[in-house]
Amino acid sequence: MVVNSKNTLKKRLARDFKRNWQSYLMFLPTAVYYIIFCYLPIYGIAIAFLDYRPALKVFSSTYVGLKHFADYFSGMYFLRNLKNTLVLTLLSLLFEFPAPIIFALMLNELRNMRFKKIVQNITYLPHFVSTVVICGILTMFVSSNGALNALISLLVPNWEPTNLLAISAWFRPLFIGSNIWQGFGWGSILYLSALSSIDAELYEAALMDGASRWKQTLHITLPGILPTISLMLILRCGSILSTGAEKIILLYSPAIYDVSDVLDTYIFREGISRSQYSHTAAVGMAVHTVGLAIMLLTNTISKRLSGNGLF
Amino acid sequence: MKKLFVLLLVAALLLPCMSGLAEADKVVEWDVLMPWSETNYALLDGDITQNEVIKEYVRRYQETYGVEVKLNFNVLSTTEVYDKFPLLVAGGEIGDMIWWNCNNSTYPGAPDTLYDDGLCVDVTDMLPEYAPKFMAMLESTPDYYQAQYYTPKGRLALFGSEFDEMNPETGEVELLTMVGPVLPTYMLEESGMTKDDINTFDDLTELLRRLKDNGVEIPLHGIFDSWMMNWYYSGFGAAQSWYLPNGGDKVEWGPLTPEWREAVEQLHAWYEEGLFNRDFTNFTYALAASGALTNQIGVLGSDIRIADIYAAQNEGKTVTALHMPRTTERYNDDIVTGCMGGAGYVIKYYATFFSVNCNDLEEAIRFVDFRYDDEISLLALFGFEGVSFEYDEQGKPVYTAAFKADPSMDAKYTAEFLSGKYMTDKYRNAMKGEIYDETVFGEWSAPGMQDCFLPENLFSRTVEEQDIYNKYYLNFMYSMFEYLYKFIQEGITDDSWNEYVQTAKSLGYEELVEVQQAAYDRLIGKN
Amino acid sequence: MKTNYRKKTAPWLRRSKGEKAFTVFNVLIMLVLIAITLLPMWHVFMGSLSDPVSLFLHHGVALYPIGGISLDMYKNVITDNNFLTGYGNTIFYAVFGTLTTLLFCSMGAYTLCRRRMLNNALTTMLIIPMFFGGGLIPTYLVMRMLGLLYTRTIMILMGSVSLYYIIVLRTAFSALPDGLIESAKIDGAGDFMVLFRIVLPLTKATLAVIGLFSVVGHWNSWYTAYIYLKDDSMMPLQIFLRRILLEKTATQQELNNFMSGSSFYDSMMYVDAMQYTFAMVATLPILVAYPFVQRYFVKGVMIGAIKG
Repeated sequence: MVVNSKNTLKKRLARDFKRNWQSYLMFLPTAVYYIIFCYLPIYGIAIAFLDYRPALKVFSSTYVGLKHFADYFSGMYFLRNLKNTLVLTLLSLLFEFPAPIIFALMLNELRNMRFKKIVQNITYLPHFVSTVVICGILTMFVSSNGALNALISLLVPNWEPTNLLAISAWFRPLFIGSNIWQGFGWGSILYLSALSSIDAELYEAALMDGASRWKQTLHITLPGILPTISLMLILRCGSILSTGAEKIILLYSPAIYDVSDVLDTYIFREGISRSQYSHTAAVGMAVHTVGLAIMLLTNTISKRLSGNGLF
Repeated sequence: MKKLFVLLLVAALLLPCMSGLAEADKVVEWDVLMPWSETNYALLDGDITQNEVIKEYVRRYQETYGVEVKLNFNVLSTTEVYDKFPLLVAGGEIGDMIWWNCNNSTYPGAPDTLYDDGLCVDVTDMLPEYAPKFMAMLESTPDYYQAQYYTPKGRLALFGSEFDEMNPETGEVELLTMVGPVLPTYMLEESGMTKDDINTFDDLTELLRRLKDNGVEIPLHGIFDSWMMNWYYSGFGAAQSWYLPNGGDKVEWGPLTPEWREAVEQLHAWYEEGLFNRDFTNFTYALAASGALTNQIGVLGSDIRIADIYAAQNEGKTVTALHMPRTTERYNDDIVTGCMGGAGYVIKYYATFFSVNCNDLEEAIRFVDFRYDDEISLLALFGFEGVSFEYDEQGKPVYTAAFKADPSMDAKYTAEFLSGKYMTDKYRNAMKGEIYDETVFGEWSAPGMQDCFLPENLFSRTVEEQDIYNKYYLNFMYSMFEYLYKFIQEGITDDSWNEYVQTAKSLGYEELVEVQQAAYDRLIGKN
Repeated sequence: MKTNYRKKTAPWLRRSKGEKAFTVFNVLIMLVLIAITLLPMWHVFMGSLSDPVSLFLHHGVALYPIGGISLDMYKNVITDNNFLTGYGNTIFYAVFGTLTTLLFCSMGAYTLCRRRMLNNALTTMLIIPMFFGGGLIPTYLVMRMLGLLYTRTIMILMGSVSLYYIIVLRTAFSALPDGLIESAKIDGAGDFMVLFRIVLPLTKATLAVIGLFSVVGHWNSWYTAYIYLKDDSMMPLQIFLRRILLEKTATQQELNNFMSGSSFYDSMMYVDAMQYTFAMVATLPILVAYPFVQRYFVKGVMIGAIKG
């Protein structure tokens, strides 16, 4: 029996290939890409357990076991990085995530189509400004002779202009705020399209039953876009531990490390600027694993609660 | 036919060789990896071979030894070298020679690991034969300066040097303080105070308040280039880094002392009152200079270059150098000793390492050895007579006025990295140029200030000590800066101070002190 | 959508006070949002047109060019070598990178959307790297091994195949009616033909969206170039922008490039104006091209979203 099924499998595969060779050929670039950029470098995970020296081949370095992991987790940076990462993620979920949704809902209520289109087009713009330029503008904006300080001076008497990016308390609002500024317009597209797919008849019925706009929103609109929201939420949670470090790197400085130094910026700084490759490989691996676990967890929870999931 | 053919072939092959032997010099080509200041690089349109000194050096070398040298420079910017260099190494791309002092920041464990990891060749044994000039210079150096040329594991590396005006017997050098508080004279006059009124920090506070009332935007520019803050800390008897309290023999880390705390508390008080620029964490030299230029800044911890700006840009406006303030109780020169950097130590920036792939190794060593020569060093530091420098009445080289006015001339006509000796001269003589009022800076060069200076540059650490130092120092120092900024912005409470001390200890404070003390003891043991 | 509105809300006069108030409030908020969106960009625009020295001394928002209009900075920036090189490179990488992305991803998605035996295996192959990753150094070493270091190729290839894009494309492809493809096959078309002649033309909207994301991604990127490239001649625009806007030392250099002749320290006052001008010139083309492009992609994103 075993022999039979093996043959059948082989034969089936052979037939499949013959018939669909073009299709498999098409997959080749993707496969090669993944091999080169994803699979080959995996051997480098070993670095986390070695004392890698750039001049030597990877496996010629000395084995140090879990030393790098131990160093990091018992050091003072770990807790700080973790805290900063979690706080930023939480703030992002609380403020950045709902912003496009709320904006979409409000946009949806506009009756004048032309006005709505104008608003949409304008608010999409910030998405296209590059991160570097945004950080540059932000830096100039919050410097002591910049616009933000001038504005605050108008409102608050005796305000001493200060470089706000050097003050820890300002970093998180500025960071999240600029993220929202950049993304609320563009992010609303998805929700708008979901809104437009809600059945018009539901609204009609509600109107006839005398439901106010607010009640309509609560009972029809929100449930209507719930699948989209939960999908986006899962995707967002999947990158829960990556906080947009590229942008933080462009903005932070030692004065605000205590709030802005997240896991990814630590890895970049220690890894590239100080070439602590082994150490950061270990940190990166730990972070990656935890992130993955969280994503799987979120996925499971979402499936249980609402039936929607990524996998 | 066959024989004829072979004969012709052989002749065809030999002929060029023979003609080669007859005419052309030997040609060597090297790829040199060298970080270079971005500014200079830009001033030469990104082409380092436009530098005239390099051309002249190569020309003179060919004249002397009959070897034509072609150099291909792989230039990294000095800001990128710490990021890029290890990647280049991992990629196997360091060329034939590295002209840069590689220390732990450039490559973990450098310079010794450069050899241990098989990147560079240990040339210690080859130097006597192929680098006679360097060896001669080395022999004539006093013992504890000699130690600096060796890596912790005892290998000899070709470093540039400077030990001008050092007393060869005692090894003592004249420490020059090149930085102190200056402010535009007219601002001082407007404030109603005179230079001699300002002796203590309370006096300085009064001046700053008056400046602010008179509309000066930034009464005191918080200069966080530590070089420029030395004058401030020394007024409290504090130090920003390692020092020897009271000129004794115990090594201490300045930022953990009560004096430092006091100094920072004063900074915080000024910050609160708005007497201090609030962008202080964002310091760049350019911002300071342009702020001074537009008269937005009052008191600035400055060196000669800023005085230059005032003089040249504001017609008739001079700067006044203030006395360095002292704290009220400690207005006593005996106790307060500054911790200034000074001249007289080996400049380790320009070192040479030879890669294992370096072709014509002996020739390369000889090429680098060519630097350790008075004539060449003069060329490298000062350039060409009549163009970039001239001789003054005492026969010492000074830069021409044209040179001082145009930064691109510095990029084109000097090449510090090709100088083996006497680099101090460049700065000293520039300082002693005519346009600078001697009295502006003269008083800061008071003798006796070097007592607590810790001559770290003279240290030679053991391998273990170097490892410990490498492991802890950078993060330890960064942590200090983080707290410093917080203290200035928010002030110091006993609790935050204790937390600060605890953090310092957890980041290796005790280990570092031990290592520094050991190195210092070794040094004075030689004394 | 029009239908929704007509049926959902009553005409103005018949609406309750609450509804009227809400509408007014809504419109106001929208206006505020427009202002917030435009103000920073306007400020930068005005700053770039201002007289450099006056700008340096000015505090606060620039609602109009400070100290009169000055186009000198623009002239200097546009003729700056680094800038032109960076722009050229970025355009090159964006165009070829996006074409590569679209090609590779659509081919890969096509394979996965048809029922094939190895599909599960292939999909798993794509998912596993989510769990493990090599990190910087191993990737760097692999690149060196393959001779891709310091080449433009790596800028085009890096990031060209993304799981997200493949999923979106696969969804879009799957949505096409089976019959269409079947009849083509019956007529003897091979998979390549089907893909290029039938599937792709029908999914233009989705391709446009992916293309747009890809172009924006390339436009924005600096990290890959920073690590894997060496020569300034290959650097994309963002690297130069980063130096100018954020690493102040580079700013002095650029100034030296244009301000030769005037005193070195004088030129430091031009820092602000220069930064604004660079930012504007880097962003202006996108802002200009944007209105023409946006009608296509909005549709595409919506379609992708609904099906997704």
